[in-house]
Amino acid sequence: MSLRFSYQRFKIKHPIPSLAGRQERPRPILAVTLIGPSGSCSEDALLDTGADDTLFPEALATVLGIDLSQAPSGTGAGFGMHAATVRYAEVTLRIADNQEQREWKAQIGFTSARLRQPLLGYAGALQFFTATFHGDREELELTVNATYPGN
Amino acid sequence: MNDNRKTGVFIDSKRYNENRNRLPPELLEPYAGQYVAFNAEGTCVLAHGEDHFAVEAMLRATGVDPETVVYARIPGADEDTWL
Repeated sequence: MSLRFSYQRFKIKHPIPSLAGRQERPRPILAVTLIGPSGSCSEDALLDTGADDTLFPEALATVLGIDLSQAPSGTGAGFGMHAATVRYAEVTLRIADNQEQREWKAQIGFTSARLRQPLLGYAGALQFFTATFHGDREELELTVNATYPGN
Repeated sequence: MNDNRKTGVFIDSKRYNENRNRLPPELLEPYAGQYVAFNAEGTCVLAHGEDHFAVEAMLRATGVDPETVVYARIPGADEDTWL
C-alpha cells in the first residue's frame, strides 16, 4: 500500500522559462496533522528531500500544548544562510489519502525563523518512507519502510 | 503525551490537494503572502490573516473549530521561484 498525492499547483503571473512558459508551479505539498499533548493542527507542508529536519513554526508549539522552554535545541540555516535556532519536541504526525492513514511519533523542530512553508524533511518524516516523486504525473507516492515507527 | 489529547479532524490529503488545484487562482490572489485556513476538503477559504494566530482568531470569531481546518501560507506575488 502507498499513499498518493497530487502536487499542489500555484499560479504564477508570468511564463516560467524553465517550464517552457507554463504559468503554474507544481509543488509536492500535502496537509499533515500534528498532534500534541493538548491540541492538534493541520498544516500544508512541503516534502523536501533537501531538508535535514521536519520543521514547523514555533507558534504551533503553543497550539499543540508543547513547552519549548527546556527543549533541546540546535541551529539551522536555509537558503539565506542566516542561522536560526531550532528547538525539538515530540509530536504525533498524521498523513492520509482516501485509502490509507499513517500516524507516527517523531522529534520535530520548531523555529521562530520565518518559513516559506513548513517542511517534512529527512528526520521525523522522510526517514520512515520510500518517497517516489512522479515528475511526469506531478504525483507523490509514499510507502512506509522498515523503520516506520507508527501504525 | 496523555490519552486525552485531541486528535484533530481526518484530512484526506489526496482529495484536499485535488480540490485545492480546482480553486480558481483569482480566489487566492487577495491572500498572497498571507496565511489562510482552508476547510478540510480544500474547497474554500474560511479565514485569513498575517499569521497563524490571526487566522485562528478569525476562525473562532466565526464559530469554526481551528482543529477542523488546514492552515496554509499563500505564496507572495514575488515568489515565482522557491530556492
